[in-house]
Amino acid sequence: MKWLFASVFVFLVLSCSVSAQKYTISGYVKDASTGEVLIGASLYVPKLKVGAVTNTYGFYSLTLGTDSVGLAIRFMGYKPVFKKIDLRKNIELNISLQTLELGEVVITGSKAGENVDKPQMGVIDVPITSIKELPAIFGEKDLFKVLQLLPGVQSGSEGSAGFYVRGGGADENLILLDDAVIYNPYHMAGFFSIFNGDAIKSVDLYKGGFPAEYGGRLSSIIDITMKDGNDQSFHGEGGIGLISSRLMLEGPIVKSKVSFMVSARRTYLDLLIKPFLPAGTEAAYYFYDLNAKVNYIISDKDRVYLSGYMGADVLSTQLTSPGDTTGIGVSWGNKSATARWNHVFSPRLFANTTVIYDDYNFTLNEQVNDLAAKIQSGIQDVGGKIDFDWFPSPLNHVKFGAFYTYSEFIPSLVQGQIGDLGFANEQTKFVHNAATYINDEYTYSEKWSFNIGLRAPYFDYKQTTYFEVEPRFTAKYALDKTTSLKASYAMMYQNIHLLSSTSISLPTDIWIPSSNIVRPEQSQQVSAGIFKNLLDNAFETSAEIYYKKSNNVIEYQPGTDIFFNPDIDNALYFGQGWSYGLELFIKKNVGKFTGWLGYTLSWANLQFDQLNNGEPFPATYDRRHDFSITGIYNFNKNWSFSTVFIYETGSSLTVPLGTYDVPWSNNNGYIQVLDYGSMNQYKLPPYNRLDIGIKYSKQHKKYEDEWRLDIYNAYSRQNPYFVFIDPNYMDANANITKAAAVQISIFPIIPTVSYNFKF
Amino acid sequence: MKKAYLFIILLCLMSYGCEKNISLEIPKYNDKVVVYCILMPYNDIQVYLSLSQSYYSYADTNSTISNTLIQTAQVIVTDQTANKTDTLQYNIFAQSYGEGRNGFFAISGHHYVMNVNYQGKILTAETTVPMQAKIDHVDYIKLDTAQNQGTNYEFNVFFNTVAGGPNSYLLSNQTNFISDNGVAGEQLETTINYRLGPVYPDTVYFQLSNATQETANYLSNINIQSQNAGDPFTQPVIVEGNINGGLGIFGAITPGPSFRVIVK
Repeated sequence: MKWLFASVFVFLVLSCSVSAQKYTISGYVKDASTGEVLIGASLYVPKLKVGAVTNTYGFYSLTLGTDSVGLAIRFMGYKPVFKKIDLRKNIELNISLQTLELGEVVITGSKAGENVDKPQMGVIDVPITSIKELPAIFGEKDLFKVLQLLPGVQSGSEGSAGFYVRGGGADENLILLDDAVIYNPYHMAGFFSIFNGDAIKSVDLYKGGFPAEYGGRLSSIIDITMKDGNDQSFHGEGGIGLISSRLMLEGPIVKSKVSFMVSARRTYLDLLIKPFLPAGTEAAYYFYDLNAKVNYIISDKDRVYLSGYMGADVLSTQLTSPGDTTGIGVSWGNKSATARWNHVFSPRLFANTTVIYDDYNFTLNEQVNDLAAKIQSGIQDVGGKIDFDWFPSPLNHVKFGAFYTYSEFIPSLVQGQIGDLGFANEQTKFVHNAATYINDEYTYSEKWSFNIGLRAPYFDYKQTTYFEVEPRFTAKYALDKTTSLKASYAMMYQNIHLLSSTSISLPTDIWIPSSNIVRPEQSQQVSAGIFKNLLDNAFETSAEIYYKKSNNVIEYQPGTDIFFNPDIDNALYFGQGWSYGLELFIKKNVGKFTGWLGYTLSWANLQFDQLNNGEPFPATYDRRHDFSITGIYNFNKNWSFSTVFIYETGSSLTVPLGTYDVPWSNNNGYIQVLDYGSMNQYKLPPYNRLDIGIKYSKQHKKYEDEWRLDIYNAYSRQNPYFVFIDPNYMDANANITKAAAVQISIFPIIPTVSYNFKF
Repeated sequence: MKKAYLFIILLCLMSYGCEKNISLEIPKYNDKVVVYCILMPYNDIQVYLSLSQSYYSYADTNSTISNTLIQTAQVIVTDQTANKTDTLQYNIFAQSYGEGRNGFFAISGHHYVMNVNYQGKILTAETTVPMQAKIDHVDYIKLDTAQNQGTNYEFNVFFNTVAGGPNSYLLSNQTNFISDNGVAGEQLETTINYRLGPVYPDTVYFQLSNATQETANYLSNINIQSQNAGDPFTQPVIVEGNINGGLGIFGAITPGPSFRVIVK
């Protein structure tokens, strides 16, 4: 693979020397009213037809070979700024953009025209404003529920925030919160994600064509950035809902220098239930989230960010009767902390150094009289990374860097005490994980631009080492200013794997690292698409096709106890998967009516030598059609209406078709055997749902508030949460018991009223 | 009081989930011929034939095999190693097809082919009866002594697998087969806890059986499927056999000699 590195290096050197370099304009682009840096704002020099885009920290650099230029700075939802610059030396230019006040909605945070202009494909900049405006179950605005409405993203079961991207498994999505990995991003058995929309600044979802700075999962990257905190004035927002309340506060500690943001959310089902519990019984369930961030601008060259997240689900019950006490306590949650230092080495070289800590933990404590038992599993990561953005010319944006993480996996820890007798069974696995990468976004001509990268991950566990090379490539050909064709190729490796005992997300799912038996999962994906924007980027449209092939994907042997198995690696099967499909997307960004329409036509298959007679079978979430519409209509300054409609083919299911008996050494002398045919041969009924939201908001002198009515599942469709086969189902009509497929539906029409405010 | 109303509303909303008997669009199930035959050395060959039926159309799921037995099929078993063929006859008392005019026993190391013809449906299968596996030695550790219940021991049983596998081995009183896939011909070890009873307080007998991989998988999966019956949170277990054109198993198990351990 040395030749590959050498080729990339030579390419970079050659491509960087194409244009003459003289002076550099560099700096940050931010929101004038909040001081938040703007990610993906575009800077364009019409005369030279070159430009730049701000990075994740709002930094840009533009090196030009002329002495007087006009510079246009744009960001969707903000007033464009035009500046004339006399370029006789390197210039530091920090730009503040004012938000538009058109009396109509603009989906802010989107990078206008970027979907057509940049070579990157398979990426969606998730509109944060939509998360807050769209109707939601129990009024709980949820990032992942909005992700599920995007093409290429399949939802899990009814009400679940779990998602599957382009036929990949649930563990194939890397979820980053300010660079920290979130291993279990769900509350309440997957009904809600842990991400509180009030604390989030931006979300990027990558489904393919992955840039080289990302790796470690096969199917998607969800890169979430928390708000930095308003460095101009003190603000807050919050809400009171049916099951939870939340509050976010932000403001300057030192104006334009140091700012903070703190956000909290907690459910209160436990408090509501408490007065109604019978004597001798204690039961409680709640979850909470706490986000915090401090941002310190030391100088124009140095900035420091400290951010953290802490959240957990807590469930406890205790039954007390004379001479008998039984108590169970279960908790699971994530903690993460990130310290980041931005340093501008030169107008063309920007660096970010990050120290990361994250922790996922599941604990179950049980006390039955004199028996005390504790079951635990989790992962703890400590690591660091350094990322450079180098702008050698207006035609090149080179990113390179490295990261290292030391991880401690505890697939299962069992401790107990019966009287004086104690027992313990602990499995702890220590893992070294590292990677280096280099990526160049290279503009060859007005028509052609490329994204060429290479990532080299390294993984070590118990003297088993995997060193891989992942080439990444995307190319863009501009048909005209508003239309482009793109194609991409990406190879990904995954060295940690989730074993799930059920089809729903439970905290008992465990993560295991690669080993000498469990080899890294690998995927290769090719995709191509056409991107077209209409009416000055008011409409974004795209059509993408993809084909993804995965190797060493994991299933476990039927009947395996994954939690208490000391030799789980040997209880796994390894196979291959392949998926392909077409994704259509139309999004309207401005006007009284905003929203999008997404459609996915897809296939996802798996093959294991030991399963299904070695024959291929559809993956559980192989949904042929997935269609969603979202819309937000603003009648006037006070009233708005929003809606979501989803239709998707049901997920796949393995059900018994026939039955027969064979001789067996039991009481009857026979045993019943079920004939399942092949795996996942049946589809559940189609899933469809309509949600409606009505909002009344009012601007007061010092604050703004709103009342919301959200109606989830407006026509009360009984969608399956799960289906199981009951061998002794009572058929009341025929007054007999017989086998039947029983569907459990849990969410009928659910109206919710909530109150939100901000100041 | 307001809190009580709020809670009641909340409970109504939360508990308005429902369980509903749905009819999945399952196409008409065509009955399949089921074969069940496990060859054992020096035992009569017995082939059970029955018809499977739709899981959803039949009310009594605890029915016995007698409801669906096939009595009018032609069943031919050939010992290809010894070049012998026998057409088995249906035995109404044994509810199975057994020894015909040229009756013979199964023999370890011999390869057998079965042909079934039922109303024009042809089913075929083949298997090789495994060689006998022997226990090499047994180590043991005394664990504890429970009052009136005897002494508990951990026995480590070392056995020599048969070269040329893969085969699967089952120790008496255990339910999980041990596969020698990749290590056929080598010595393997398995552990079993056993409490010696008052009748034989110092003696225990072990017997090791050697099964073909297909047989072990088939029997293990039936066992797991049975244990998981009615549990919605377990993955379905597909019982895969080796019958071309039908369901079931044409397999073989060879029991080994008893191995006596005297605990001192």
